[in-house]
Amino acid sequence: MKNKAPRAEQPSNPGLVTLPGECQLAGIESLQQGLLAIQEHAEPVTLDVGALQRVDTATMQLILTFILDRATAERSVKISGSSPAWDEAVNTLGFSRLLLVAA
Amino acid sequence: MSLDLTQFHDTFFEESFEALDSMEAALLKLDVGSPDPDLINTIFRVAHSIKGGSATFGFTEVASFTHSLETLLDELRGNRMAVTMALSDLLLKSVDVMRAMLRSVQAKQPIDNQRVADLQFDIEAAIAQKNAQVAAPAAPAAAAAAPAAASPAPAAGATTAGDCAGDRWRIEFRPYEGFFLRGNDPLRMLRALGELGQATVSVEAGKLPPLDTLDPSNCYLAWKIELAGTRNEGAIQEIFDWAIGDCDLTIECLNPPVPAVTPAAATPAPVPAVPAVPEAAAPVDATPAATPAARSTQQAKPDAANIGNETSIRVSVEKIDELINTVGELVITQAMLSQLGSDYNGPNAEQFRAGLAQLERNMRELQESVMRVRMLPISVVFNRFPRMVRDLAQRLNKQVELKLTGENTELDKTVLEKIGDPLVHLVRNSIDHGIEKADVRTTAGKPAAGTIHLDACHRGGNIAVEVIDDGGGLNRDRILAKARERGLVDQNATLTDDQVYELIFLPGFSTAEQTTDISGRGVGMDVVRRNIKELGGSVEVRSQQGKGSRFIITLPLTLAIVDGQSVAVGGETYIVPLTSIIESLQLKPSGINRISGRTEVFSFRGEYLPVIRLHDVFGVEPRTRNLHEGLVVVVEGDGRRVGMFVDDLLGQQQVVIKSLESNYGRVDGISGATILGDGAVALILDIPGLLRMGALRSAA
Repeated sequence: MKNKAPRAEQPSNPGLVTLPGECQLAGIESLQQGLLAIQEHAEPVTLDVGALQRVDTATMQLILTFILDRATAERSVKISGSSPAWDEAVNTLGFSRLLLVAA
Repeated sequence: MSLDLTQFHDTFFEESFEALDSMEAALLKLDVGSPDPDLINTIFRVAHSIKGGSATFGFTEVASFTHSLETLLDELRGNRMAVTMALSDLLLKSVDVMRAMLRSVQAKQPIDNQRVADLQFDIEAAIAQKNAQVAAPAAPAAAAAAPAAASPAPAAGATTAGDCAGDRWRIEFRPYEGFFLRGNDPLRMLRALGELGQATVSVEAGKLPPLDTLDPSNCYLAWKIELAGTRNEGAIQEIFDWAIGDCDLTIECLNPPVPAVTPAAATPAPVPAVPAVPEAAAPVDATPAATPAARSTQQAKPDAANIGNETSIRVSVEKIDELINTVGELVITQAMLSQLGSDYNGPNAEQFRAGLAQLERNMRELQESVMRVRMLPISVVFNRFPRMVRDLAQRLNKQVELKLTGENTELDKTVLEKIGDPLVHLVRNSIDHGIEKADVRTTAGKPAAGTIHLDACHRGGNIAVEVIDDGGGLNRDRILAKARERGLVDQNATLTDDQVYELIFLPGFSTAEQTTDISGRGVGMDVVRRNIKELGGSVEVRSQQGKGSRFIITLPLTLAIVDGQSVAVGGETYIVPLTSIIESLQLKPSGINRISGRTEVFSFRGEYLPVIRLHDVFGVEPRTRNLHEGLVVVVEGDGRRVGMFVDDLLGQQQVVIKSLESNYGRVDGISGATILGDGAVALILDIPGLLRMGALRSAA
């Protein structure tokens, strides 16, 4: 199943990225493009994971890179929404501490 | 980066000693013939944890010995061996040896290898004997393979799939860049690992390129996983089967089996090299004290996830004492403010005083809370008695049952540490001299087994600890005869039972017909009383011939504060501990007499008490020298009473004790000092010390 492109830079809220229900390697390039588009966004970026139902390591690695890069540039990323798939992936892959540090 | 494990040694030793106490307690509860499986599991887990910790820290002798012990316990756990009296003794001896080994290692002293080897030989022999019995009916080939102790020791650190005795693993998983493109997903693998046991995952993200140069189909991450709770390496391996060739993978057993030592090899076998990481999680255990390794590790790795699960923390006594001291200073400051507030008549005086009253209440609560931190249950002391009573009864060929009640009663740590020896002495005396042999008891119509009852409870702001036995009781006639023979009592003196029993507390007094290595050397009851007195407590005895004895120890809850009566002598204020005061009274001129024209005495409840003039003792100019113009405080110490002449009574208060000895030097008749609300220093009187001084003055 292909990923739907993440909805980023919506006119009403340019700092919001909404992850689709399925985030897999197959559609990862569009997610990367979406994230690159707002990487330099000066204001805090919100990553809405509320709709996420399935995610793989490749996607999580990409999101981690995005968050760490922004943290290095002292720009924050806020995770919003509640998703068991997101929580499980963060915990299982051992990302919790890195995300905490980057927050 | 290598981890310095020495920083965890103290915790390991502390927790191992606690665990050994639990093991000993469990062993003592073990019923010969029908042992409780839970108890055996508890005992096994202690041995297992100590073995794991010892191996981790490189204490090879301890690890080797506990490995043998663990093997024996595993046989018991699997119902392949029965718990016999002899085996129970062997296990208790093992506790002693493990304790001694750990103490030696802790003190960096050599281990008594001969003692260890002897007992290890006995353990191995017990296992071999059982195996020989099991193997006997089988074919010779099967018999040769059966005895674990006789089989060659496995190679150091060698683990085979599905056959590792360890249950803790470190897995290093480094996928190659093309890992995702070959259809692999680390998330799925890590999830499967988590289903095998408790996995602690840490990710290495150092190789991640910036987002704009990152190829999202490449894997740049690597993982280190610590997995606890599975013994099956094969199952771990299986998870990565499809990734072989696409990643670097190492699977390492963190607690590999220690090679077994054959009975012939008297020296402990070497323990395989273990990774420089302490155990992260011991086997699941319902008894916290029985998992030293697990708790060591929680301290070693203050993981965010672990912190939330902690229900207790270990804090050094020094830190607590610093806190208590600071709270003591706050109490003094609060008292100063209260004193100032009582004289304050400015604006908002009422609100100010209400605030001060609130502060006082809060301070008292704070002080009580902080004092409670130092409190420990008396079970810490009581726990040593089941073993002691068992061993002594065996040696003296007596039947003794021990009953413990009130073990949860809490006492200050310092008091607890010092009450152990006096209690041991009393219990030993009770077994040696009090409890009769079974035939004597049955002849007297008593149950063959005597009972020693240790009880602790709160009583009037103090703690009462009682040692009660249903033995023969104190022999009044023999005590009196001995006292007369030694000239301690006038030949014609008539003494009450209580007065006679008090004689046993005199130095060197013993009625034992023969001294034993258990008791009866004539050194003891005076030392018991002195030690208890030094704690600010008292000991008394009640006894009934043929029925038994009851020793009642009264102890203060804490040594850091005292309830005191402040008294004025001239311009000075002194604190008299309330526990020493019987009564305060004003004498009439006619009520004062002199003995030999010197010692002043007065009549108090039918006896004449001497008067100690505090102003003379401390060289202070009093308000008055006429006894009837001041007050006399009747105090008791060391079983004697005197009247202390003071100018006035000022009030009762709790005072924080400051050591005079450590801040200045020892002063006779003074036990410490405190700071009063106005900032002035008041001395706290040592009543027994004052009585001794008074006696010396009278004798001079």
